[in-house]
Amino acid sequence: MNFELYFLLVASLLFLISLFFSINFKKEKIGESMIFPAIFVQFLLLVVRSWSAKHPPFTNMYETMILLPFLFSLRLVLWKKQLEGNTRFGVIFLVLLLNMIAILVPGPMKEIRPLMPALNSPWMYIHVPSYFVAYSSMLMAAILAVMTLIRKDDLVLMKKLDEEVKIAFFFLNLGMITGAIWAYFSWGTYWGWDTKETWSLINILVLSYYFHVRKSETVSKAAIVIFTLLTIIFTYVGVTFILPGLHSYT
Amino acid sequence: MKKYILPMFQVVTKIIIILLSLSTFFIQRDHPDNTSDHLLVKLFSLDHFYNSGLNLFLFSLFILLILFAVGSKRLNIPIQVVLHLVLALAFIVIIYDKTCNEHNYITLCEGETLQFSEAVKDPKHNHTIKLEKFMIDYHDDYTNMVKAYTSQLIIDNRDTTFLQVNKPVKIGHYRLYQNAYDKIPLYHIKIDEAEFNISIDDTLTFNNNSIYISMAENRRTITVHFNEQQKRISPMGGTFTMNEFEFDLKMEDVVFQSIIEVASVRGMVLLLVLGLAYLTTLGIAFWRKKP
Repeated sequence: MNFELYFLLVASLLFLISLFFSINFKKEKIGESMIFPAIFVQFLLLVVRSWSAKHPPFTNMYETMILLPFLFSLRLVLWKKQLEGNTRFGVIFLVLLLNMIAILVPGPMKEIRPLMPALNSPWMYIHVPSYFVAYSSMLMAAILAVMTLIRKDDLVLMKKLDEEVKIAFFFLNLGMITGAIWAYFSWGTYWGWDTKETWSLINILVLSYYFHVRKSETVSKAAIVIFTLLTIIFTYVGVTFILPGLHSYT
Repeated sequence: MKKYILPMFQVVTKIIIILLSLSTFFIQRDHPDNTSDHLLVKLFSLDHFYNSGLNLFLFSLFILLILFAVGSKRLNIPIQVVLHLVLALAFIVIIYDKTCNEHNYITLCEGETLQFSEAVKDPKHNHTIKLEKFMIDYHDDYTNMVKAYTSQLIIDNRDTTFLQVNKPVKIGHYRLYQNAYDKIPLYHIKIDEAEFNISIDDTLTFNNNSIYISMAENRRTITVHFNEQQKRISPMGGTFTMNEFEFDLKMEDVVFQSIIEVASVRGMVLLLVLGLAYLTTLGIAFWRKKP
């Protein structure tokens, strides 16, 4: 348990150093050089968690809280050329914020619990990661949406936003369809109006608005993205803690 | 008409989003018979929204508007037409399937046999199902949590099959799903000098008197019903007097009861194909090379 906390602290510290140097444009390269070690430590954290839990790190809230910043931080390496200064700053800031939340999560939520019978299915390996790829794309889209509101006529930025929303929308749908197949094998029904299911549908319906407004309506598009992120945050955290349902373990 | 389709579609979607999100706060899942007194909840059936006519109407309108958009050539790129048609078709199959499929629950204690046709009220499926053994596998760590549970079933006195969570068993067009399990206490009851074995929800007759035992929902007490009289005692048993008879009740054993869900979902293969078609067309629509 403590090992995990150390990894999380080291990764956060490296991201913090990177964030500090990315503000100072003259020393940007020092910040850049901290990114790869930070992501590597974040990856090691997931390996350690999986090894001690004997299952992949996405079976409860805490595990997904350490998976999401890792998936999101991968953009700093894989989409390096597409991330300009301010976007890069936004990504590092959000990764750091997510790590801080994971550090502050109460101890009992961090405890390793073995898999319950319903989670023992190959569909879990597609269903859950699909959603977290979508969530990380939505985080990126939200950063781009805020920047779009500031620079309304930037077509390159709009194109990037379009791409992120497409990735998020595709993976939200993939998550829902694989979830339906899994539910069919597990509960005998592909759709049971469970609270998490209903809110996942709401996320898709809200985001589908994005594709049904004119290309020129940049403010509406940005507003839809930010609103979808809010509904996703409610689905991820709010539904788990406020509303009862079959997905109470997530 | 063509120019009103998109605004109408947006309005319908907005209403669906608002009602669906509100319904998650008011829905009565555990107590379906409860209804709210709140005017707005009553007006929009928010406490029973998913089975309401309003939900069916809104989704039907949603499908109709998609089909109108396709029919009125509102969509001018072929892949968008295909995408919307697949989506509309998938929703039609879901609505048809949700109104036609059947769900039942059956419970079987170890050694018990059940007539399947009676359970599903379908005389065509004249099978017998016996729960030969119920097995629980625990995680070998400090939590000792349940790893898997398996019902060893014997169908028609010859075929042995193992039913587990995520691994349904097929009987005709029905599928059996391992839903949950329960521990049912077995009691030894001594009334004056007569002795019997009885389990929860069983009835036995003694000297023209009827004896029945029920368990409280919180499982903290059991109630012994002797004709019209009732006596609430600890689930472990106890000694008491009712109608001048001396009762001595002891929990003797615990048997496992397997809770099995029986479902008939007819359109699943079609839905699977439509789901894959939807994802493929969505991928093509998003990432095709534009001329």
